[in-house]
Amino acid sequence: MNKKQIIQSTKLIAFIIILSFVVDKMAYFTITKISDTVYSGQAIGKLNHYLSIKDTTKLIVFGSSRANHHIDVKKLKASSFNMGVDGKFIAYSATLIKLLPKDVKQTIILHVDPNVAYRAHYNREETKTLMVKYHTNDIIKEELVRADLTNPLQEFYWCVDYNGLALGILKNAIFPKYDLEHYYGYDPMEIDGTQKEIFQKILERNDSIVCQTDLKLNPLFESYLKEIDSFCTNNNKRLITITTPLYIDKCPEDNEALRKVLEDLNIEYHDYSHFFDNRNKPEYWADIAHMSNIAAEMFSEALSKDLSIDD
Amino acid sequence: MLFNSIEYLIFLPTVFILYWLLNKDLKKQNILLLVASYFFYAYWDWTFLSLIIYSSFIDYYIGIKIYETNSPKAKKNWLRLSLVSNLGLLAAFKYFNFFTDSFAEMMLLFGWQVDHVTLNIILPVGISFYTFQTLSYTIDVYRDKLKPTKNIVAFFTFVSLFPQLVAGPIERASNLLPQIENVRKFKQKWFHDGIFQIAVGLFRKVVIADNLGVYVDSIYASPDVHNSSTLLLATIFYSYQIYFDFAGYSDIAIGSAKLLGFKFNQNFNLPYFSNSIADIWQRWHISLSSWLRDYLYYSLGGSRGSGLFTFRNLMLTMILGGLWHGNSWNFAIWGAIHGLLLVSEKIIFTVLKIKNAGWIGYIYPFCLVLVSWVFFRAKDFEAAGVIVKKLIFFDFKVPFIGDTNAIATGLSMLLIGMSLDLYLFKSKQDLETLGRKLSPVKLGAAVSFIILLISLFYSTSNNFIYFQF
Repeated sequence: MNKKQIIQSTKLIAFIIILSFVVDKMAYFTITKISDTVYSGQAIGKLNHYLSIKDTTKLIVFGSSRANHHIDVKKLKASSFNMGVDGKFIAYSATLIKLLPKDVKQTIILHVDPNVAYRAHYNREETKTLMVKYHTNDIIKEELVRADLTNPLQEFYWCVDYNGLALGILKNAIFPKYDLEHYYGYDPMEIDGTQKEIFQKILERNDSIVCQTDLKLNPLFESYLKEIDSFCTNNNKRLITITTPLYIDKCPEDNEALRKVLEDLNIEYHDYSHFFDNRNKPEYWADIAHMSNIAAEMFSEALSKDLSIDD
Repeated sequence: MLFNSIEYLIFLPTVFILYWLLNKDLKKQNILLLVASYFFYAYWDWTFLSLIIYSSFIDYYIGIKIYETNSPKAKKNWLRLSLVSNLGLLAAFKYFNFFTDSFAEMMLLFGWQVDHVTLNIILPVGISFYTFQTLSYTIDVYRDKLKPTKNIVAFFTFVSLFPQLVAGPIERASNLLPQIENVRKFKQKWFHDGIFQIAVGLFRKVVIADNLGVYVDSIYASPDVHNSSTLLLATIFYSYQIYFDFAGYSDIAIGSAKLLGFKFNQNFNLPYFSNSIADIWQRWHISLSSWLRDYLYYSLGGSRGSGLFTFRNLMLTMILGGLWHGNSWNFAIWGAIHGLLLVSEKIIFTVLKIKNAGWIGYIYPFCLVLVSWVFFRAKDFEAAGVIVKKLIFFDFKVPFIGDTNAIATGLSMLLIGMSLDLYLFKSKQDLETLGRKLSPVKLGAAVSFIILLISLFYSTSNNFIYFQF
């Protein structure tokens, strides 16, 4: 390698680094500008929607798809929002709860899944979609760093924040799906033929499940639960934890164990896993863990009566 | 160490700088390469380094012995020792459980319950690749096609050179060894080729293959619950996933080697633009298919006999080639399907007195290969059976889409990947030499754009598919 080659190669590498940095920033700021206008879609739109209503809404539901598809919050309170999102668990919910205003009285309904609580491995991977706010929100950044989900290259290439989300953002910017005026985060599941057929086959297959015998609360779950409880206690929030119905709960032991944990922490808990036990029908379900819109409405009515949320 | 890891992003430039700093001393350069290659491998699991060293030593020693011996019988015995040593390693680490399980199942067919032992064996990464590489060296020396090297560092580097150590390309000693033994010169155009090919390889792997893999994995996990359209879509996705995964890996390997002044042979040449099944095998995993041709098919007699004899050799080669990929009957069936397709195509072309099937030739190979991929991907024979049955008795229902964002990302990136392939096919260019044709500004712009696509659309996968082989 002679001097000329060293200079040429160094120039090329430097050019690539500089140009890729500039291209990245141009793309990042363009996508951010578009992203901030998006209010539809589960990953970004709903997050933006949440950030815009979180300070003024009286009741907010957090949790996974089971919270999202099962709880019609308007049946519980007029000023309400369902922030349940597919595949999101306690770390995601905890991060969003920490963004709530500190001195405003609010009710938080947190969906807790015993199956997640007693998982041996929980890597908080689901909080990755919050990455879109990595460079704009310090609390989110802190939580993502803590969850060890950041990419070392992200400090240089900011577009990594939008990894896997750019097309969805564009689609939702061009074709907004929801009526923002009336959308409040609840997404009932209307079951189509394909879904019904898949569920029927799953039922026919009757997979056996091995229930855990040595139940150990996942330390991360416990830690986030305590943080949420502490945040709510110190910031004028009522925290209610619930578990929504399942088609069949083959392992009730973890529910019981979680109930005890929540009791010890003095956290209000309502377990509805067996809500439909004596009146269950396959048409109430999209799959083992998700109710159809019909069943979700029935459940929300019952929940509203149970929780006695004051105005 | 994975090519698509941050560690490799640090490792490669570090080796590159140190390597070219030593360019006045070939011996030191080769020692650096050897140490770097062992570090690269040990980063995954240092305990299996001993297998590479063992395999390298055996073939280094046997190569010299074969060359020094005049007696044909002694030469043959040395060769046998190499075959037993290398294939013995493979048999022990890759096929032991397969053989014992298959034997027990066969006995059960006759009504005999056999207690069999299965071992909890971890498959050492790259064993199938470096075993074939060292074997080709010894066989070439035996066939008098190659003079053995007495430079132990060069030979050990040939076996373990990090760009090709864990998943090929399976480089022949006749190509790579002279490059290791002779002074390498830094070539600017190779540097451009290397940078461009590494960038494209990464895009193919982490953007196209890994995004398609998300859908494929979810559908193939429970094929029994999905309809025919869904399974067809997943299988089409898989055919592109495996192509872009392995071609991407090969691109990074070839590109990395070029940065260090080595020229590896092309491993993929747009296989889905083939116009016959035979053509696919000229373009798909070229280093393996040519290895099987030269060291297995020809050893079995090749086409030097009756038609039936040739067909037998083709079938055997393809079945064993299938089994090379993994210790399951699914791989043998995959190989057998390809063997049958090659034989059938040969017969049809001979009867019709044609060399290819014209424009139909650009369609049927992909369709047939698609079915064979089912056996390659399905978790077991039962699952493959379910899928094939559903593909044959097609129910024409709406496919299950799942995460639309993931599907849209996978499809749009596939479109970009295929557009590049189409451009290469139409313009009769190789990806391997495309970088040098771009001015530094164009190259920088292209690589920057690829980096942007990777940042925005990379998906995470634990491994390259071919690591499991």
